Amino acid sequence: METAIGVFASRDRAENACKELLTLKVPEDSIIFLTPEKSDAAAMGASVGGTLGGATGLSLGVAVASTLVLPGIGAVFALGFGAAALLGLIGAGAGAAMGSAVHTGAGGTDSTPQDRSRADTALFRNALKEGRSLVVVRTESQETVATACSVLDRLGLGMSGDALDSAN
Amino acid sequence: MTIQVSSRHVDSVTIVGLQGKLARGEGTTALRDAIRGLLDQGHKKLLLHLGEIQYVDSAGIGELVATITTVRHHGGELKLLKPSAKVRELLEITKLTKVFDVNDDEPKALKSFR
Repeated sequence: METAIGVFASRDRAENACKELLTLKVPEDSIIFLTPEKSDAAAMGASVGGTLGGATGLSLGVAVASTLVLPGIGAVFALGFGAAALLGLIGAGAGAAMGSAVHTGAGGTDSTPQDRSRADTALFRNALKEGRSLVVVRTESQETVATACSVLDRLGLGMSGDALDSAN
Repeated sequence: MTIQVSSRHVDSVTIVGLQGKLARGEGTTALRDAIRGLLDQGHKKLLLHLGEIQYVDSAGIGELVATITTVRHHGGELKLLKPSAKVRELLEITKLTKVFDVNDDEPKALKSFR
């Protein structure tokens, strides 16, 4: 299993990344979108999911929108297969989630999607706390991860290969 | 070759040196295989030397996160050593500095293992 993670300064930019991923035929059920909500998530409820689902192009056929108010972070909106479970894990506490993660090999094929979610929880929690949006692509396909990297590396924060190369 | 992986042991700590690009494909697979091999051999205190990593992509970030989880699951510890300025910037932007223990001084990093 390969995981590509993109961190974005704005929700708009993360949404654009999702749109590109879908345009490039990255399977919808391999994409998770997480973003902090600035306004009252409880009031916005499911309507936000519909709006964002439309905005990103995610059909919500498999992907499920979830909103949760997390201590220390605030309201977080999540879209994608496994996103609800991921939000639950984040809310439960990153340290405990990571410490108890059942993961038999780094990226091994014997890990379940939920195991992988646990692996990323601490990163997600900290990024969301800082107001970042995240797009995660999980896939067994090298072709799909290559496509995902091409989008996330170009649009994500700090992922410019040119910048990194030139600095070394 | 996008990445080269080496390892050396200092007391109970294994320093894993990475050189090249931590990127999708060969880069992430090489790291995964190296860590898995060390854990299988019983090496559980791992210090990942990132000083000669010139490039990390979004899959590389995903692999770093997966790696620390794997090591912890095996009852081990994983820390990062001497990331270059740009790699450190990336770690800070992605908030991985709050997930990993990042050191710039090797003796101090070695001493920090329990």
